[in-house]
Amino acid sequence: MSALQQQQPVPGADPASLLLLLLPRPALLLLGPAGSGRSALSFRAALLGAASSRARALFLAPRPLERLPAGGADAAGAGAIQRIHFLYPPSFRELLQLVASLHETFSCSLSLVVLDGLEEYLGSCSSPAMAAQLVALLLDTANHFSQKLPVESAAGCKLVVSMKLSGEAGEQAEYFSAIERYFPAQCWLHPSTEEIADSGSQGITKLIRARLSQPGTKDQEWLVRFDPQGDMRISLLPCEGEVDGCTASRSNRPPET
Amino acid sequence: MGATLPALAEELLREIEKAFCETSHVPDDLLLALKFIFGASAVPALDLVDRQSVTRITSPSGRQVYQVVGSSGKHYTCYASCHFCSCPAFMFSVLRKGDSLVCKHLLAVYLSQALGSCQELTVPDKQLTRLLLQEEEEEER
Repeated sequence: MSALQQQQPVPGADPASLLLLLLPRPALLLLGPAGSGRSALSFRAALLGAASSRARALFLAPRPLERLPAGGADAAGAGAIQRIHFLYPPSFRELLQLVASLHETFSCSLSLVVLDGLEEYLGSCSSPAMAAQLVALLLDTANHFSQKLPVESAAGCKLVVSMKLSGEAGEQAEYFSAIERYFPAQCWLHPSTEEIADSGSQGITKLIRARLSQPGTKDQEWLVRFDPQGDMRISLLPCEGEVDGCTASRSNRPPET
Repeated sequence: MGATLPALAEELLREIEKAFCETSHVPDDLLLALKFIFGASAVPALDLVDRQSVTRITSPSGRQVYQVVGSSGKHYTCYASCHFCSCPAFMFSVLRKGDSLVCKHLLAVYLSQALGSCQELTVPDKQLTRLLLQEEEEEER
């Protein structure tokens, strides 16, 4: 069915787990502090989107990724990356205009729209209302492309937005509360303080807990592991209660204003 | 309509659609429920529907957007599939304070959809892009 099932998975990664974490709902907001692997996960989502549909995926970011996260392209198939369309609008205003004109640009459909680094765009955004407009426009655009997809792909065009956010949103709290209402599914990334020194002593392995919250279902948790070469592996963690020290939850969201 | 409207509100709109489809009339109990759920937006929204103020605009790309002419004659943009209106009340009461579910324009769009009473208009793709960006253009002026 999907290209994922035809490809060899990355050793240690569970492709179904990856798919569930990154593309669970029509729209996902991916949140985490600096160094929590947001861009790597966003890029992986784009690969998954491109690999699991014949339609193209769109990747929007303020600038190109410094390097492509390793491993992803092999996992999703070499052809997948060629079906990702990368665009780098430099400012909020240009991003908004670009999103509004996507229906002119793409006569074919899209299976996924990824926006990596929303927080950078919010820096040049004049008000929380404008931020809400951008997010609403992204969702409306995804809906437009869903209707252009062939009927058999019931999944529709999905949206993944990543935003850097530490525990306290501070001055971004007002922006955050204006946009988060549009995302019933939110994934919080919590870098683990413990880092495992690689046995080959070539560097350190970073561990990140990813917690997915969506209404009507129990929160789920994944462990994302970046090895020193930058390879990413994802595995589903047992349910809450079975894991010690599992304190990550939606309760550490910034206070609502 | 977006995932931001509570299930109860969506159910009421579906009931209104069903009742109107069968009898070309919206019964009083549903109108009361509308007032109960949507508060002060309900009556002005019904008024906007009566005056046929809601236009569904489509371009050749298939993209759609709604435009509502407010009571002051001003035009507001409402996104077709997602809970958003460019009017100040939506910004303030819905987004910022969170004490209303909708503004009267959005509710008028939902009601017009339910009653099948939208005006229809087709414009070129480029013009639809400008309509989607209404608020931004106004800030430039």
